[in-house]
Formats: sequence, structure tokens, C-alpha cells
Amino acid sequence: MRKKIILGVVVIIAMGIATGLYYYNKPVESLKNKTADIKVTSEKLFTDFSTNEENANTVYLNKIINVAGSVTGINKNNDGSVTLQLQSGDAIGSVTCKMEVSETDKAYKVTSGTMVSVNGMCTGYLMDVVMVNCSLTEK
Amino acid sequence: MIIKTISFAVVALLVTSVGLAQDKYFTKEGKITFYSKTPVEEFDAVNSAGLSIIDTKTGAIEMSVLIKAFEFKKDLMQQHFNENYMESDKFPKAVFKGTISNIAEINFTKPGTYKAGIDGKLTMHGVTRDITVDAIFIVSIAGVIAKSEFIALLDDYNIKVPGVVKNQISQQIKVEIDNTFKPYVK
Repeated sequence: MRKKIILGVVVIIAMGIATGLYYYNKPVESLKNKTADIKVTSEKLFTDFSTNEENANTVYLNKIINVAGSVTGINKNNDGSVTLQLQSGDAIGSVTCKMEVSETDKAYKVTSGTMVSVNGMCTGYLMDVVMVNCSLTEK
Repeated sequence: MIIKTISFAVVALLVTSVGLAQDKYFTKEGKITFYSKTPVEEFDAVNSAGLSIIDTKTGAIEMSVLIKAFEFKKDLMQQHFNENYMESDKFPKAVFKGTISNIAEINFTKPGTYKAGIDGKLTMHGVTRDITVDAIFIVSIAGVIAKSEFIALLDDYNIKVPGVVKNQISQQIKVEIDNTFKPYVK
């Protein structure tokens, strides 16, 4: 009887450790199939940040954003990933979307002028609105 | 024939020297890497969206990064970095404003590698500190590459690491900058 109890406890502890390790080592999740908290056009996203950055931070940071816009640039980054630039309506700044590594081939095939929808995480505003962890979505 | 050759040579010379002699250099893909190493754990985080400008006339150099744009391999670490250590909701950016102290020694029109000293103020997690760092500037016809490496102490910026993970995160973070600048064209 005692052996069974000890075995039971060991199994529970092992499961606890395994779960802990799983969460500890979990890589950053893809946002591709997640439902966005906010849907917005790239023009509106940029305007919101350029007119009132502090307010835009409270609205857009820490949320999954789906941004729709016309592609104005496709850049290959040094680490091999692709960054898509979306139309902002501004002459200097744009909305930049650093695509997930798994999206590289798909994103690189996108042509300038195409309308796309992207799920991603908004990190804030410097000269561009910077989105990371991005993936192309249907709409 | 000779006139054509000379005219071509003059134009070519003008074009290359104009291409090299720019007042300002700029990047919005500056690369900043944080490294932490302890006997228990080693990790790094990379930000490839740094915004930086060099004014070659005054020697002024500035760089801004968005904290949330640092990418970690492990999700939990990225979360803790943002929520607990850097508190990036309160302090979304880190900004450096400084001056290249030996700007006169750097010839932005002559390709080569130049050593530089940069003095300035780094603002991170709501704290501003004076820092002096060494850097190298690699000048070529394509543009300018700036590289620098320095140590930032967590205590200096009020960054608190809970006791539970004290052995996994170093108090001294190695910061590496690797920016490829292009001439700033308005």
C-alpha cells in the first residue's frame, strides 16, 4: 500500500515538473490562427499613433492586432525573416510588420500594391508603427 | 575623346564624393542585442527595429528602441522581461542621446574603419544615466556601419529581478549595437 502511495506522489511531482518545463521552454506562439482583439486599417493605426502616441499605446499595446493595408515595401532582414511595410498615408513613416520566420516564403512573394491583412503584436511608435510576430491572414 | 574622358571622370568623382559626404545618416532597422549569462542560464534578446540618426557635422548620435520589440526564444522570458523587469507598459522605449567625442577624427567621406568614443545619456526603465561607450564606425560607399558593445547594470536602471530567478539572470547585461546606416535623404 505504501509503495503505491509513494509511486503516486512521484508521478504527480514528475507531471508537475514536466508541466513547468513545458511552460518555461515554450517558444513565442504564432498569432496566425488567433482572433484579433482589434481590427484596424494601417492608415488609422498610423494616424492614431502620430496624433496621440500616449493614447494609442493604451489602445493598441499588449493586444493582438489585425491590420489591413496596401503593401508599400517588402524587405528581407539580416536574420532571414521578412518585414512588410504597409501604407500609412504619411510621407515619411509607415506601419512595419516583422513577419514570423514560418511566414518568410509567403511574405516574400507578396507584391507591392497588394492589399493584405496581418495578425501581429504592436510594440509602439518610433518613426513607424512597429509590429512584430506577424502573419498573413485571410481577412 | 579626351574632353569626354575628363568630363566623365569629373562627373564620376563628383558623384562618388557627394555619395560619401552626407550630413546625416539614418536607420530604422538598427540591431540591439541583450546578452545575459550566469552559470545556470544563458540567453539573449534581439531588437531589429532600432531608430538611429548620426549628424556628422555635430557628432550627435541618437538611438531609440521599443522594449516590446525585443524578441526572445522563450515566450515566458519575453513576458517576464516586459511585465516584470522592464515594465514596458510604463516605459515603452529606451533612448540614447549622445555625441561622438572624437568626431573630427572620423572621415565619413573616406572608406575605412574608425574607432570612436561616444558620451551620452541612456534612458531606460524611467532612469537616465550618463554613459561613455567605445564604438567603431565602418565607412564605405554604401553607407556607415556602427558597432558598439557595453555593459548595463540592472541596478543602475532600477530593474528588479525576483529572488526565484536571481541565478538565471545576470546583474550585468551585455548590450551589443550593430547598425547599418544609409544617408538620410529627405
